[in-house]
Amino acid sequence: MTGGTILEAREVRKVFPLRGAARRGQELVAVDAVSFALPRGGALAIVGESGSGKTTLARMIVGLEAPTSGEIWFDGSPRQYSRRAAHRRQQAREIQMVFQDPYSSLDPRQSATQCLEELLRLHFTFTAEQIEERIAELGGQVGLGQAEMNAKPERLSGGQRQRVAIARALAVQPQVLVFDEALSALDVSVQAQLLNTLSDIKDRSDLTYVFVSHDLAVVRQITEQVLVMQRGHVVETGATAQVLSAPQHPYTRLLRSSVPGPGWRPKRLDHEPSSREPQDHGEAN
Amino acid sequence: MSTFATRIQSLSRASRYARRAGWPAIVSVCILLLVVIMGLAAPWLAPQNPNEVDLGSIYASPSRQHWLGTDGLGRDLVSRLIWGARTSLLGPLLVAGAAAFLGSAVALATAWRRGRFDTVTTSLVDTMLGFPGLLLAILSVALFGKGLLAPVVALAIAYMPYFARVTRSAALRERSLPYVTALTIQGMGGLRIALRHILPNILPLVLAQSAMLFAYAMVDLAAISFLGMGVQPPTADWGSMVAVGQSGVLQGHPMQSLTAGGLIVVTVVAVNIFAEAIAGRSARGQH
Amino acid sequence: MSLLEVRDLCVWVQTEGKDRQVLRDVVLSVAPGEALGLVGESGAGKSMTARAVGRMLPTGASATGDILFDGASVLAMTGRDLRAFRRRGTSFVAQNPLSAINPVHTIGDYLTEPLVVIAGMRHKAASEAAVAALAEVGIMDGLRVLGQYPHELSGGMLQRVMICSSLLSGSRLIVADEPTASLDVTTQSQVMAILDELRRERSLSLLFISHDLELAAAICDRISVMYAGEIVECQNARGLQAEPRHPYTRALFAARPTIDGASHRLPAIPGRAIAAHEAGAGCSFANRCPYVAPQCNTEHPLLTETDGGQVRCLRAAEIAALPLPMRCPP
Repeated sequence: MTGGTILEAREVRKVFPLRGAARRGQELVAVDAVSFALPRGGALAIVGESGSGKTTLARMIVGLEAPTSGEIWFDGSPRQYSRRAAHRRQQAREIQMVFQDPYSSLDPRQSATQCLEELLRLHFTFTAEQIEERIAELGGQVGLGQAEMNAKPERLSGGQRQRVAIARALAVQPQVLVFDEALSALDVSVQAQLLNTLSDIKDRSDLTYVFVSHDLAVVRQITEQVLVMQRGHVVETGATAQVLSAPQHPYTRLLRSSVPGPGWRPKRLDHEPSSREPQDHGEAN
Repeated sequence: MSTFATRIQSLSRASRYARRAGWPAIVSVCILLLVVIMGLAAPWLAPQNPNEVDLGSIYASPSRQHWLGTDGLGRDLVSRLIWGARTSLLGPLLVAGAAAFLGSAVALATAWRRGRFDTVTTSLVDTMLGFPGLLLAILSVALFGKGLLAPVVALAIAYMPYFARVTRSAALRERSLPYVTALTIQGMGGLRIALRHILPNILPLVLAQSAMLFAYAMVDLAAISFLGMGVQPPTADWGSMVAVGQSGVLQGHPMQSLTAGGLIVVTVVAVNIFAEAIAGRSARGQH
Repeated sequence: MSLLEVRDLCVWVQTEGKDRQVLRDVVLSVAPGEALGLVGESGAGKSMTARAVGRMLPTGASATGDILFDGASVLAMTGRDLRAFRRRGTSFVAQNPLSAINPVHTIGDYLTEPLVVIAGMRHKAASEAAVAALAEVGIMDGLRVLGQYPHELSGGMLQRVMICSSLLSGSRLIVADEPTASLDVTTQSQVMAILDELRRERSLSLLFISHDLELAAAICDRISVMYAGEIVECQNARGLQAEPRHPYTRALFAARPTIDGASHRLPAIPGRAIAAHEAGAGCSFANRCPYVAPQCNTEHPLLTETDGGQVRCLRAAEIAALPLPMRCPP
């Protein structure tokens, strides 16, 4: 492991026991033997459809779930898992997350300023002026003006809310940001703005990104490495440009060919997953 | 932002709510305010001493001296009704407040911790649902004596499970939202998240439930006083006034029971309308 | 004659006691057997247009202009004609099938109820028809699926069931409002293929609403682009992809990242999309347009004919000669 690797997964596996009388004793392997190494300042995409395990992997990276086996290494040491708030607070300064739904990922009763203030007071012992300064700095980083920072979420658009969510994630100066489909709920023009903002933020700091997404075009735009997942397994991995322009695995090829673009026509396939995949799994905290 | 500015903001917000809620809600709030003021300002509002017995003019008809007449012991009805607001409102308020406090605590704790703690506690709370509040209150009076305290405590314990169940569902829903997960990742403690984030967001529901419990408690406590087990004479209380006025009704003097009963009904209806208005607002305010 | 024609449709809805305009002079037409894509971002008014077509505007909404279905005015329909229109005229495929199908009824009930209750079929015949229709959308074990409940099926399956229901209703116009937005991309491809194939086979008309230009272009013959409650461009799909005419359409194409290559910076449109009631005098896109000229702020452009379509832009002719917004290479 080189000094430049900030995030590493080693044979990470997550198994959920299934609930319900009919399925007792069975288990769901959500993530199976996933490994990757992400250098500092890099950007990794985790691509897959529903049931691929990408969200579970993201949750393990950020510390919400503990792997059943295997380890996640951050900056040269393995990550410990604990529900204790103090432990989480310390880990908060390592890896943070931005969520998909702009409408429920912010406390509706708090403006951005109030939210950031609360977090800054939780983590640091700043004076009031220092807090104000830091909040203004964060607002500038994500492209939000004073008025927007002081407004309640209900007055903000989806794009603005995601900016607040990004500011919240950046507030404690983490080293890795995990985006769990964070741009999927946004309009095309807003997505483009946010992609630019995220590029800017990354260029000016040595932040590392992990992008969980189903949108291959977005992934191509902002990431350098990609992990393609299907039903918990990594089916292909490599440089984003390489994998997307010349996919090797049949599933990657299928994904690639399903993306609408100029001249694209939809295709019917021979096989089709008939019923829902079992979604029921153990409680996560 | 200064607290003065936020207070102005919340006042204008309150008036906006009022306008949106419609006139039944506004009327019910006014009625409730009147009743509360009546109770609070009783020493100044009541024209006469409510306990002054005047056996020379029992069951008197309304006159300039006694606006609504007198009861079976010659006491001024208006004064007794005004003073009665105090005990008649205090009891339900204590019941609703205690039930809400205990119920919220149980709800937030189980919604946050989940797992075995949740299952065990919720089952316990669910079994408590089987106890009828009124019977429990009567039982506690039999054990601990008459007065306001015993039935209030009993009713608070009896109502708590209803409150806890509804609030728990709301808390669970709130807890599953991504912003709570985000706060968890940030390392914010469970207690803080529950009190500073989840509770304020389910507050409209909590208030609506509390208002409903207030109304139920008022009826239950009035029934207990009616049975002679709650507030004891000579303290004025609407429930006991309805009871004591029974003999008057039989003799053709229904004024005491009617007016006291009428005030109970009006207050309960007003509280229910108010509770609905808050609940309606919280439903509308959902994303 | 068009099957569906929308003429100068303006719609106001009530929010917080005030009337807000959401649609301004919407003009579109769908010929029999044609697929029209209605594309735009949030707030553009696409879903409201769909609702207006089905006479399902929210309470308190008011509308001027007209919507003609097979020559008859939808907005003026009453009673029996309205019911007939809703049953057999148009059918809807919604974005979220789980919320559009009653969760306590089986799929069989969902599909056969209209046949039994409205078309008067016998239950057995209705079941057979449903199984046959399910086979057409690629669900081979139809008999088993008829007995299942919505929550037991995947999103893709449910959307196929909804398309099935549209086919069974015999309606001539399918209005699909972002039908694949909640589906995986591979499932999306399948569902779109099914929709396209069946539409062509039966010569049905399709009004396809989406935020995804390329997706709409894949199965629609023509595309109308909406912004701030009005139609800003309408062209055949190929032409729109090759040569978008309205600055907004051009910007949308440019702002979308492509799978073929990364750009250093995406040419994002500054500002944010507005709704109809936020538009001022002049062109609604003026404050975000890279080609804005002084007259754009004062004069409201009309939808003018160009070869192959219409465009609502004062400078359309000049802009057509300019190259498309370039992305910076990485």
